[in-house]
Amino acid sequence: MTCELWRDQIGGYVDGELAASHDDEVSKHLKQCGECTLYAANEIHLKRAVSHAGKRYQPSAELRANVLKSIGASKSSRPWFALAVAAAVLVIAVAVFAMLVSRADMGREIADVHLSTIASANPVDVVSTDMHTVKPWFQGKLPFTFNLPELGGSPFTLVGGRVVYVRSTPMALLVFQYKLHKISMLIGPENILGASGDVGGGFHAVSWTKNGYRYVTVGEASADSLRDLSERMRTVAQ
Amino acid sequence: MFRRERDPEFEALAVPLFEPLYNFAYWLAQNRDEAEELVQETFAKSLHGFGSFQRGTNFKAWMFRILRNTFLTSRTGLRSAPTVDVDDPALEVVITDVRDNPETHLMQVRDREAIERALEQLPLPFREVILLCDVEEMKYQEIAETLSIPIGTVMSRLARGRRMMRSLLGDDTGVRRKVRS
Repeated sequence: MTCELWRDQIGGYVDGELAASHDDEVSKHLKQCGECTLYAANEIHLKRAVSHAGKRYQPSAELRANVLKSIGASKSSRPWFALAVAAAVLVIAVAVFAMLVSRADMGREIADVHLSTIASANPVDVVSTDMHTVKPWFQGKLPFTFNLPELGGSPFTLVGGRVVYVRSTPMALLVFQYKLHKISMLIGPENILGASGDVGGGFHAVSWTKNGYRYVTVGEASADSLRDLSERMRTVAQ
Repeated sequence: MFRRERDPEFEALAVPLFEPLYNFAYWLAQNRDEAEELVQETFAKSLHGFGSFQRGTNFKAWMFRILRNTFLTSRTGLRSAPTVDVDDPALEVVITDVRDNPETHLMQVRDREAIERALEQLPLPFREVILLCDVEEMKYQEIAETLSIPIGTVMSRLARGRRMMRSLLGDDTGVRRKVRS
């Protein structure tokens, strides 16, 4: 089958609509064909970006009230209680707002690092699947060290690493392959790094800390797979 | 708007769809006032017709279908529907193949505003099928039920709509350019 015909099926593959047997066939082809893999990656990117950007419009509270009234939906019989709850929520929201803004900025920076990595023709400076090659490469380049887990038999493959600067601070960037996805892992001082959940751009991030350093795993792969990789890293972290 | 007695079953099923319906209505009408009218009318019609809703079938698809049909019979809907021949290959005349330049494509995809503008410019039949698939995460079968079209048509519109999106995003000026319709 030509790549053109395979690509006709990639939309269904990305949407999770192919029958299991077809899904396996497409997966096999993608493992062998770089161009179709890139095409599929672009499709996944577009789908995720549309999924975020498409949730654009929020209805007003007035419209909600009107609609609920029109269908006779029940309302609280204690409006003052509801107001008090709303006020308390507002106070809490204001209190955490500054923290969220700061974390959101960092989340965007982390997403940018990941995006520039996967979009680059040379995403890593040390290219190796061998942790005994990648880890020593960072010696002398960073003011800290870290351990890497054995990934044999896991769905993850180490691609390599490089040094990146986030807010003028050097950090380790490790790149892993998971199925069609590239996953980035940033390791740096806890007081600089900090992100989890959605970092924008359709990416997820999972983060955790140990001994003053934060580990952030980011990618478009599912949050479960990011947690899986993080857990493997956590077990060997110093 | 008419009002009926409260129906707890309808309320439990319909109220969680309020925000998704409004979002979809706004994308269809591209106007706040019309989107608000569409949502209010949809809730009124669906409550009125809830007795005819077949239990065990897809309530979400049913509600979205009512909203879309309401839109299509509105002034804006009537204006937009006949202007697009979805089988016209000229709809994709602006497409450039961005697979030759994936980096540019990736960088633009992250720009939320560019995505929003590209969605706005898609002709309605492609915009609605992409929104239902990617934003509402409906399966092809649900989309087919919502839009009353065959699954094959859902698939072909998705493929063509995404090609148009890539075209609009892959071109530096594409986000400001209208897809011919």
